[in-house]
Amino acid sequence: MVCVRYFLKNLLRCNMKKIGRDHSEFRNIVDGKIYKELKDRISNGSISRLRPKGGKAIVSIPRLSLPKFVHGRSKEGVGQGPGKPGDVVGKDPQKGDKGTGAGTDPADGIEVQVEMEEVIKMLEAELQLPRLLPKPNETFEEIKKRYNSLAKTGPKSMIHRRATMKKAIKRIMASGGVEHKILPGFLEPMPILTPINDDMRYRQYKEYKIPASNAVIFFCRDGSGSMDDYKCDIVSDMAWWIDLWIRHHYKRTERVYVWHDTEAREVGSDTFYKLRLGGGTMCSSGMTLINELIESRYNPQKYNIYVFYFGDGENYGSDNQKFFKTLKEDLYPKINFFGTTQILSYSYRNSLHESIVQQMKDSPFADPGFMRMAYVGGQKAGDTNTASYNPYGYGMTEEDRNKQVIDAIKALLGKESDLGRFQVPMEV
Amino acid sequence: MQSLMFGSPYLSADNTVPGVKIPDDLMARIPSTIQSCTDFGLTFPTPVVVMLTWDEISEIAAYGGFPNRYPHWSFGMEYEELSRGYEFGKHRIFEMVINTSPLYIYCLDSNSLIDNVTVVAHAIGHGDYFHNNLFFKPTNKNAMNMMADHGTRIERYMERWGRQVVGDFINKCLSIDDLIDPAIAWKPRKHREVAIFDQRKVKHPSRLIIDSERDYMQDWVNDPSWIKEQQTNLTEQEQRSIAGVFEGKDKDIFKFVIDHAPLTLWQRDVAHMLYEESQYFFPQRMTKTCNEGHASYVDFKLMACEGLAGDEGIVDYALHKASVLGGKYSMNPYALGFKLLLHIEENWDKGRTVVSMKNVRC
Repeated sequence: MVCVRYFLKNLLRCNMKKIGRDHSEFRNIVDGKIYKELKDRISNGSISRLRPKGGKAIVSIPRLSLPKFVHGRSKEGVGQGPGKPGDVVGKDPQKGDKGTGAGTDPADGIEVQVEMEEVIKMLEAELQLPRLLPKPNETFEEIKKRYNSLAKTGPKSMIHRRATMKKAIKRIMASGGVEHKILPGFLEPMPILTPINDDMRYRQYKEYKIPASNAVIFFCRDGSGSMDDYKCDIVSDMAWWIDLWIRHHYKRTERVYVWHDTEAREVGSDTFYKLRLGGGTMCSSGMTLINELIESRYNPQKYNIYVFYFGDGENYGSDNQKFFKTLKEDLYPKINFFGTTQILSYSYRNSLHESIVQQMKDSPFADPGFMRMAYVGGQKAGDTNTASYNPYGYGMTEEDRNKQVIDAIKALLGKESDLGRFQVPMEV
Repeated sequence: MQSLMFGSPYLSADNTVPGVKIPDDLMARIPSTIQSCTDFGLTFPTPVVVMLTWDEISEIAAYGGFPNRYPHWSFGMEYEELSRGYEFGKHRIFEMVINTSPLYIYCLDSNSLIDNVTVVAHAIGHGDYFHNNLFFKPTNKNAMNMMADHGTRIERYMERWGRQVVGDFINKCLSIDDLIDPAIAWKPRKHREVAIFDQRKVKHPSRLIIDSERDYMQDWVNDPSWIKEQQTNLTEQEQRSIAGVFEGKDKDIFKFVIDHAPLTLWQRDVAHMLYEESQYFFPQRMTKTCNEGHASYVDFKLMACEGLAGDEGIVDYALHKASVLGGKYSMNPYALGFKLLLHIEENWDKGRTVVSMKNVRC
């Protein structure tokens, strides 16, 4: 028995490099640091500025090294008489006592490339895919075969050697010990393990059906004169993360960008983020165009449709009614989800959101999973009080802006149990 | 001996031991290289030439030149840096040699023939330095076994007390492992004496003797506060000598911590092993410039001046030398040591026996 164990141990050790364990330990330490860094970035919002190219995000982690004593620069020796516990041992007289100014040394940390998959995994704890509807005539994209189970019968070429030997060892041990023989080339008698027919295990496949899921995301934005670069920047940040999140769930995702002032038009993604013409605002035109596009191109029977609307809440007075009517009558039966974001609106009074909330009160048509609203530009991050809508939100700090963007994304796509924390309450 | 010289038969290429077969053209040139080193006047332990792939040499370089060390993540970090550096073509390790007897010389299999011959000459230069330099006299020449022994012992402690616990303790030890006194290696090891019987003599502060008639002068001549101060000083001194601490200035902080910190038995053992390894590596850090300079000088003399490179290899050798002595962003110990030795040689040949080191161009 000892001999067998020793033999197996050596067999396994053969291909293991010695540095492997130290290297993997080091990688674990680095991964832990990266995980912590990403978690911090998600919680303080700075991840909204992280727009990686080529599928990899770059985060910086603190330098990994053991603390060492180094020679100081001070010329005076530091002496310390008899003291009591808690005394500070002499300070370096050359450095100032106040710790002001951040470190500018670039060697402070290591920059690490992280796969976008890792970032998405972190987001999974926070976000969810809202209202996934079953599509009746779902087709299967492909049927995959994976060899991941065992069978007692099968072709010879599919023998699973490890499982077979395990069975054989079990049987031989149970039936009273191993037979030892002196083999050519060995001084000591070696254990002989012969598997019989009952021990044989063969690889067996299982079928996995992969549904052909398609999704289309409509990004619609107000392009009137009041939407300036600062607001467009926020739109682009939000749209990028929403896009990443939804694309993660579907095999094929199409994106349609709709831009509107008084008339709507379909544009490319570059134009969508940059185009600015000083015109009036008719929000309903965007909704109408989306409806037309759905009817002409995207069959709701086959596609999961998500619509995201960005605007600053200013609209031509009577158009609010029309907007709501289109949403209720045309879009509601067809689309999965409607999310609207109001960015730095001048006031809550007479804004698009107010009218939606009021009309929802009169005629409730949707379950809460269908529509969600978010706001960027409160006086403080996480401030859900509608009275604190801040028209001069341009003055907010970078951190505050990032935090509000992340909060808005969470309000749109967050889990239902967490919603109260981020969403603007639906009351006037 | 023959088998030792040309790579021992145990170091063949399989997965368990590092090493690949030495190519025939290099094999043919190793004996003549070693012979010309001996003719040049170098003395060194028997060399063992081992040929490694880049992956193996990165691994062994990460472990400081030894195949068996204790497990620690910092070696993994070193390995990552070295192997990535090679993969991306940033740098490569031409050779490695360690201060042991026999002298292990690691060559890289992707080097050209001339590079590897240079490496052997260079490494034997190091071997000569290790053999004759005063700083390396007290180091353990059987370090290969010492390191493997430490590795096994620490691994056993890890099995007994937990990987994390022992690893954390090693982290703490490594952060003070350069605070040692290299001079202690020459001192004979002594055991700390423990006084079982109290052999102390009671000491009193000195007093001036006064006649009994003038007893009233006692307090004025022998001031009681001064006497008391002397008394406390004496007591403190006595206590220090009993405890064996704070008797004088001590450079060897690591050793002091090992001797006096409240450590458990395994912690003391681990710390002492790390102390020994640190002592072993210290002279290499102290003599870095001179050591590399000496080895560069030796391979320059042998390859170029004695003509070991040959007519066809001299250009390859010059290219190799230029890349080793190059670099402008940090101090290059190879270049500095090499130039200093050439400077000394030039001055000596011209009869200037008092050498000024001021105007060396590097």
